[in-house]
Amino acid sequence: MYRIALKMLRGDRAKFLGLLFGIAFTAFLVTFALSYFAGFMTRGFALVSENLSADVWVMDPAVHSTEMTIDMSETVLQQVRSVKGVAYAVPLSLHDIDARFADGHFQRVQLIGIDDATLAGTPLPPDGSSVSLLRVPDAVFADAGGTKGKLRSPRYEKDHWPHDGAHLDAPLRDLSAGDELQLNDRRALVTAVTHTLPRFPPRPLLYTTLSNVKRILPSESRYITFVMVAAQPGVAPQTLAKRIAETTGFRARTAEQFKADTVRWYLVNSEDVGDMTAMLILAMTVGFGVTGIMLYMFTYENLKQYAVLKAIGASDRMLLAMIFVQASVSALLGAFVGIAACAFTGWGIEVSGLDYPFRFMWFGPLTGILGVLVVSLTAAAVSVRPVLKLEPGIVFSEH
Amino acid sequence: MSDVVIRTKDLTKSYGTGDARVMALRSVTLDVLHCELMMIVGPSGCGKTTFVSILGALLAPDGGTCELFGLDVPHLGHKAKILFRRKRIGFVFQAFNLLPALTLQENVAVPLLVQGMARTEAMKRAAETLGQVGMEARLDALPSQISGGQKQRVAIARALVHRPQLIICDEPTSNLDHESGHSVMKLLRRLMRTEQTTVLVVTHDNRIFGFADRIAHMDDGKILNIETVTKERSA
Repeated sequence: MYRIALKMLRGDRAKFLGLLFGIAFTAFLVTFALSYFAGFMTRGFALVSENLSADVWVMDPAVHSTEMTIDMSETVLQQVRSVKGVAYAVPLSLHDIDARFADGHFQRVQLIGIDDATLAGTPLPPDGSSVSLLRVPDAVFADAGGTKGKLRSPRYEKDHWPHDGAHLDAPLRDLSAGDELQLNDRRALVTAVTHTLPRFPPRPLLYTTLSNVKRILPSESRYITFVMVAAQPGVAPQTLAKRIAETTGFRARTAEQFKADTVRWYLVNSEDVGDMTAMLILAMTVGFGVTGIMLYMFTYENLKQYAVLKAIGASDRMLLAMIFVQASVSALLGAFVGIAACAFTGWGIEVSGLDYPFRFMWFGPLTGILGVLVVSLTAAAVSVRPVLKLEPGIVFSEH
Repeated sequence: MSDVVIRTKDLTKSYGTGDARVMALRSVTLDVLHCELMMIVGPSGCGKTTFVSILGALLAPDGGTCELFGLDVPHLGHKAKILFRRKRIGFVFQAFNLLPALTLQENVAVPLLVQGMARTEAMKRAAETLGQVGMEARLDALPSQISGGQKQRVAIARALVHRPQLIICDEPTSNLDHESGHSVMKLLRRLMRTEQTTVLVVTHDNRIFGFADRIAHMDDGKILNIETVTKERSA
């Protein structure tokens, strides 16, 4: 009877293809939405991802993400370094600051202070230059951080630091090595332009040494936002994190834990995520609604055929099984097509080099499959009611 | 072969309530014999479809008794009624009601598959039965690819494939031309004899009355008279 159910399903090709398209579109929408969401979240913890050598991140006990931070005093570094199992520990400093460009326009940027001695955490310049360029006096590495057109400098020399006021209408070009900026009225010299991981929310980044941060922001009493710790060989990051937290009283998280903390923080606190989620839920509801209605209509339009089967002697259980097989097969086929289309789209984004937050993670397709399966089976469950209540006598209704 | 296989007594059935109540059957009493082709004829709305729906265990009567093959059908449980239909009854419908997505062979195999027979065996039996109705050359055709007369032949094969004791035909020739209608009725009579089956035909197509053994004339929910068809007429 299952074969008959499947033949009935494929019988009306146009209707079947319409149904498959509806389900595939829903699966695509759900998977794409979650991949998009995962892409954003991945950008949210980009700071953690780009510092691969940090096994453990140490921070103020009140900090739960890379986004909302408060600094610690410099003694934290010595405390952490004294914990057993620590191979080395380096500071990292984050500060938001306005950067003024040579023509007079300004832009909010994130100033990232790197350990002077090791330069750990410095992105590699793409032109093959050395990270030691950061040791040049007043040096900064500039990075778009997922933004477009925000790090710009005047094209012509006459518009650089003019004496007759700002030249805000001056033609611009992308910021490049050799350009100068003002940070809190201090000079900053761009010695490299890097392309590290894009951020969420997108923001321009300026990497510099911690000593330079202190020069730029002399009034701050605390500078260390995070201490990045590498574990000694044979020491598990989780064990070390626990030990650091117990010993120092600071919050210590492994890289993976800190990424998860950051995602959780965004889910709870970010208004952008809330808006995005609302939009996605709306889109998914429409997709699910269309799928459900199409499946319901499919069963409803075949009522006469079910009445014939009922008259012939098919039991309610047989008809239920047939309807659920039809729904499950449609859902799985549609989900497969939708998810494949989503994967293909992701691949297209990847190879085309588009700067689009798309990350195809396991929970995207899984939710896509489960979502359409649940909706399809629910629609099937709703549509069986008229089949069960069906009087097989309607097969005589041609009179 | 004069055993009574269907016996109804004072069968009543109504639809609706209050002022809208319509009496579809008013004390219908009828005996049908084994291997008999009984026609139930009458104008539209006279109650003949309601009557055969009750005989086919598709509808419950309000009152009276209805015994088929020694079973009190209206008082069977839900599952027993399904089993009764599955094993003992074959249906032929006016609109053929073949499943459009299935081949003719698969359509005919459906009653056997419903009974739980293995697909290979069911398909083999279906092919044999289609051969009995002269459709052996079109096993893989779809219902949309054959004529009305051929569809009714396939419907008869489907009604017959599980060797039922009773075949209920609802206006089997109404959608067919004269020649096809006669051909279908000849086939039914032949199969009735070879398969030793009882056949009930609901119709108002007077061109086929000659194929009956007896004709029950119905009107206004009652059987007015039962006519025995002479051999000359049924020849």
